[in-house]
Amino acid sequence: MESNKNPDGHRSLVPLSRLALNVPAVIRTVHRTDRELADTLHALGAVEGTAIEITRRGLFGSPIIVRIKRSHVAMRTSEASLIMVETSLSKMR
Amino acid sequence: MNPRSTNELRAEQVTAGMALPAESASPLLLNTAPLNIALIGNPNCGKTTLFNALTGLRYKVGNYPGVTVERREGYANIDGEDFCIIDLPGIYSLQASSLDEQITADVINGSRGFTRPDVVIYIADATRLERCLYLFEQLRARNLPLVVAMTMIDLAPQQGIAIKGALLQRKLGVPVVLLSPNTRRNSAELRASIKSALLIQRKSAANGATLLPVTSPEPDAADSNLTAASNRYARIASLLEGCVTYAPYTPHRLARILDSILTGNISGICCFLLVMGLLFQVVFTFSAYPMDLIDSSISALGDWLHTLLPKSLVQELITGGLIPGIGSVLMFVPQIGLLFFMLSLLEESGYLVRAAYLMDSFMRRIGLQGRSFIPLLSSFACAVPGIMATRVIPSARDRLLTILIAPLMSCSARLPVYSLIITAFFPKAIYFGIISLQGLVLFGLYSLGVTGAIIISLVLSATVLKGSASTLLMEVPDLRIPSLRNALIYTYDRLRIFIQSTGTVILASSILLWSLSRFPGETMQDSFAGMLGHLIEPLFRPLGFSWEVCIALLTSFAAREVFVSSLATLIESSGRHVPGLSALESIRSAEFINFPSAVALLVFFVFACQCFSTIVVAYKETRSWRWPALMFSGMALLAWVCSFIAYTITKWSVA
Repeated sequence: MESNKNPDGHRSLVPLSRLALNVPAVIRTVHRTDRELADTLHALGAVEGTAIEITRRGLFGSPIIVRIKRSHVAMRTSEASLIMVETSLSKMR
Repeated sequence: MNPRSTNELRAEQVTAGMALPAESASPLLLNTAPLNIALIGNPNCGKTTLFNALTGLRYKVGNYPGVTVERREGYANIDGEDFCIIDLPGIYSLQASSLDEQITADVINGSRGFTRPDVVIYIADATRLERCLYLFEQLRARNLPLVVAMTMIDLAPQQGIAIKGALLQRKLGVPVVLLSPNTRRNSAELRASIKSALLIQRKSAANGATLLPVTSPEPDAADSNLTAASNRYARIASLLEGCVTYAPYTPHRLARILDSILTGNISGICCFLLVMGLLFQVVFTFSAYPMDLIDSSISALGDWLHTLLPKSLVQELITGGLIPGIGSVLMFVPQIGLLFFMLSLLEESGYLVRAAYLMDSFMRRIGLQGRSFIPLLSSFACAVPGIMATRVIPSARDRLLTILIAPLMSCSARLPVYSLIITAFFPKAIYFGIISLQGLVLFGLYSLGVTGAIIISLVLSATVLKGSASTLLMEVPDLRIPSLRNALIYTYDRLRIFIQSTGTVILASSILLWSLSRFPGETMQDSFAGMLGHLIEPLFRPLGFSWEVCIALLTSFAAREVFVSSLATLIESSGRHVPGLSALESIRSAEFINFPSAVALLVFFVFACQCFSTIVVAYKETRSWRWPALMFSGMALLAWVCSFIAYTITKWSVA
């Protein structure tokens, strides 16, 4: 399990795909392994410092619907794993 | 809805806040040629509604050269003045990574032979302003006269959003028009804004300086990395500061409940099955009435012309080739029309995206995505509208794969062939009181097609399309009531394109097929088709197909159900028609087909792509002969192999 504790020890960096339902988080970085995908993610609001939250999770855990910048975006967990978010450690999936 | 705040918004009308250049606008607009105006905006932002409102039905639809990106261009009379309006595809950014973005970038740069627009109207959804300004920021660096047209103004107060239009206009440095939901009221303001955008541009060009904006446009719009994207959003935040305020808001209760039902894991699937059942009913069953009407009118017209015209080759060409050809094109109209009408309503209401979200769990397992489901479902009625419906799939790779496997869904034209052979060769046995053997065989054939499609999809994903992965990333717009007008216009567009481009090719090929079965000899056996039938017969001998069956197979390229009538004609002309027996019974007694080859024939029809219309529409939608060629040859090979296996197994088990 990947987790980078901040000095206070209560926050943790996880991929969005591992965030639990309805837990607010903040985007820290977006991996740019696929340029086109990353550009679209940025344009849809996925940039550093933006609040994000999973509002729906599909039948087998994927796809998910997230709320970001007052709109909703559906994506698979494979896309969501590119977005690293910060949240409290206890609220991970 | 809160009418007071809407009025406040509108009261703040924007022209007042604009530092309009002093000289009058008129000299600029006395040019003889109408100004070119491009509409740019995010998907679901109300761009199409504005385009339809501006142009009415005075527009044409086509494709950008060599690609499947749709091009809509029309004339609009805005407040007494003519403009040429280009509707560009809905995009989120100008990074030029997707085809839609590439085309938009080419048009606004005036590169690759496109005319650079004189003015860009940027359409921004007031309820998603921050996100919408991302693309605007990229456009601002392109040094084009810009007008921001804000849509969904009536929804903003409902969502606790207050927008100070005049302030925003000053900070953006371009005219901002708040579009009234009543689209007719906007023209005077739009025209004034277009004028002032042009003047601002002239003035800044003359002064060699940038204009009013508080923050200057970004230096490099093509810059693509996380920092650039973050900076862009930071600039947007500073632009919007003081212009937009958000009150805490909870969505309308009914909308919230409806949305949670529609996207729920269990309730969502139930609703989905219901909606798809309805869609399929409409496309498959409702279209039967107009199709029967077209069928009977066409054959009545043919009969009438047959008696009217003197017997000659021309008469035969008209009644045997031309009229049935027109008929086969028109026969597609009800299904295509109904399908696209329903699809447009579903898309605009926001349901199609939710359906794609639900289906993705299943579709991604076979290398496809949620949006592939509806085109594939439609292909059970007919692959032609099904392949046309793949336009709802944004990813080029997923779209291509969906097109390639769509013809494997057993379409309604296969049904007459299935039923002819099943009733002729399978007894009317009933098991357990309810399960009929014939029904079971029919179900088996449909399942066989679906199974084949799944396997082919997996194989193609692992081979031809290996380099590219299937993705799913889409905005889920709020649920809203779709516009009937937009749906009708969309349906009209699809039908017009179909008849003009695909229909003409189908008509030509049906005349070609007629002449193949008419020349040089009088009867089918002595025709080119007959010769070809004899020629290919050795190829099909391992499947037990006689030369008559081969001829009928060839003629069924015009439409699969023609197989039945061709076979009937061949039985009659061969003199093997048994008096007192129907054509159905004669097929068996004439021993064109024995039981193992009947099974082989059924399997062959499941897999073979013997339909000119499908091949033509696949060509039109992929813009290349490469994929239809792969589709045809791949399916032919699959059909032959599976047919051979079926023939061998049946022969062995019968013996």
